[in-house]
Amino acid sequence: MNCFVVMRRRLTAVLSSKTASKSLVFHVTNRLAESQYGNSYSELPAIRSHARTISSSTPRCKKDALPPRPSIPEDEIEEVFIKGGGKGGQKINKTNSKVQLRHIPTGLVVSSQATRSREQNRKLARRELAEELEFLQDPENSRRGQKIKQLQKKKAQQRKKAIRRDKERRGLEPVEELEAIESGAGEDTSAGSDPTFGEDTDMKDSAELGFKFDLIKGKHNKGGDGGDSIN
Amino acid sequence: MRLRPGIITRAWRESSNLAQLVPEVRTIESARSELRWITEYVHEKMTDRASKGMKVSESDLQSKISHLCYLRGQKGFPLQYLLGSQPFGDSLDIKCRRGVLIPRWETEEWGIKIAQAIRRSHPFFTAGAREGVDQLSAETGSEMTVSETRSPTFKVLDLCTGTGCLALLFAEQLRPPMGKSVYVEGVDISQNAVELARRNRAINAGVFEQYGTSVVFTYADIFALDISSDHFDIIIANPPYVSEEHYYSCRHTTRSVRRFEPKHALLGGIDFYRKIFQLAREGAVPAVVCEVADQWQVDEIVEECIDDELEATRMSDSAGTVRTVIAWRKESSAWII
Repeated sequence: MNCFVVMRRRLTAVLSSKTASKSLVFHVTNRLAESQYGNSYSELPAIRSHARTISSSTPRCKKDALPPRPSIPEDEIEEVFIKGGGKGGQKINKTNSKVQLRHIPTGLVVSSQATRSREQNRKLARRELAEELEFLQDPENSRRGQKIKQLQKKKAQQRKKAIRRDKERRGLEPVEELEAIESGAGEDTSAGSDPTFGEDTDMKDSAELGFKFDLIKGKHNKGGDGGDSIN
Repeated sequence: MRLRPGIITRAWRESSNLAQLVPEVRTIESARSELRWITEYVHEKMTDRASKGMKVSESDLQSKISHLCYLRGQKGFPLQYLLGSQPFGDSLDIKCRRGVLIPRWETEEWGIKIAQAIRRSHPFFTAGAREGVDQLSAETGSEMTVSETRSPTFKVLDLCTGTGCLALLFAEQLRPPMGKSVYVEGVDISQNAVELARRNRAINAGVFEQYGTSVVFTYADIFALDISSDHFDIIIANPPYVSEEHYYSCRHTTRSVRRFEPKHALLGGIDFYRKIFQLAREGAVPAVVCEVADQWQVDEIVEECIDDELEATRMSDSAGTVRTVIAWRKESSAWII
């Protein structure tokens, strides 16, 4: 006998990068199933804070290869259909392709409306569900956990580079002074929120997503990115 | 469904484009998705233009996005006609244009289910797996009946093909076993549709050509068609099935469909099904799968078209509406679960 819903916590991990458009838009709702997994779910805040760093990039070097994609057996998944009403078929042309999956043993619900194709959304939702479960069970070694580590490392490297570039841009400063500043500043970059850094990493993210955003680089897009409500 | 009060005001707070979309898409969530897709599309187009050396400005971009939102939200222009395409199946990109019916998600859903059922359980495809393991037993034709292995080509006939989406979907999903091939023919009475289907075949050829699958589109009227010497293994169809009463009723057919999509692809019914089943009889086709409007239409079809030689069943879509009728000759192996 299973004991489910002990505590309900609504987790809206809207995984969208600042570039918004090409991102995967997911909704994760978590209902705790204590008995089955015995997790304290202290990892949940971690998911929220790292939500924005996740992009659908492929590993660049073999030596940094991520663990393989997890999968879930079909009989554990229930597809919930949000009834649109009406007759459907030829009489209606619905562009809403939202797919919602529920993992029966844990009660975890994932919905996806990333693409205009229902079939592709189904695949994406299944992938997301599997990754989410793997992450909850074993954050360190899961595919998502490894990806987060990689991105953190990369961001730290980019920040260091950006500091250096910024200093060069500002003018010729004596090399010794530069090094002293750098060693002190290097530690603080993780807490920093310099807008230029953000822009650089966004460019990198969007490059990873394979989406060219040259045209609106650096400009605040008012009506353009409807999917991004984080700004 | 009615628009929730204050919804447009709420949408305005996010963006004017979003607010423009709401009257057609009805919810803010849908509006956000559509705005995202419109924005992506416009960016892609502008990037293309820029790479070709044409001048593109930020205001061009914004005004294009606004214009599309206006057409979509205020005029009810179908999104697929505005963006010119609809993703279909696993990786198909089906181009759409005025005059040809837009592929629906229900069609995609049953198409995939049926194609996968065939791939999983039809003797033509399952026998192939055994052949790979033991060539000798395949030569002696151990467990297979002769009639099921008579031809190394699995032939699919897609009637009223429109954009060619079902034909291309089956070509994508029905990967043939080694030494065998798949042939899909799509037929439509509209030259506009056949041209579009051929264009879609060219665009998506990479998906199935590598397996030796061939897809052909023919311009023909199904009421004057003769397939008696073609030996098709299955007929699939999404024929016009909306009744006149439902077509003109706002409760059944949306304004956008009535205003923008081709009438001749929608108005139809039992006459089409009767003809389809007659073709199946004449051509000795062992299986027929058709999209339908609802349970009542299935009842009508079963009464008029299903004779003693056939077995029939129905299948619902994931919205719970009866969406497909499946019929097969009693003596052929029932690969349908």
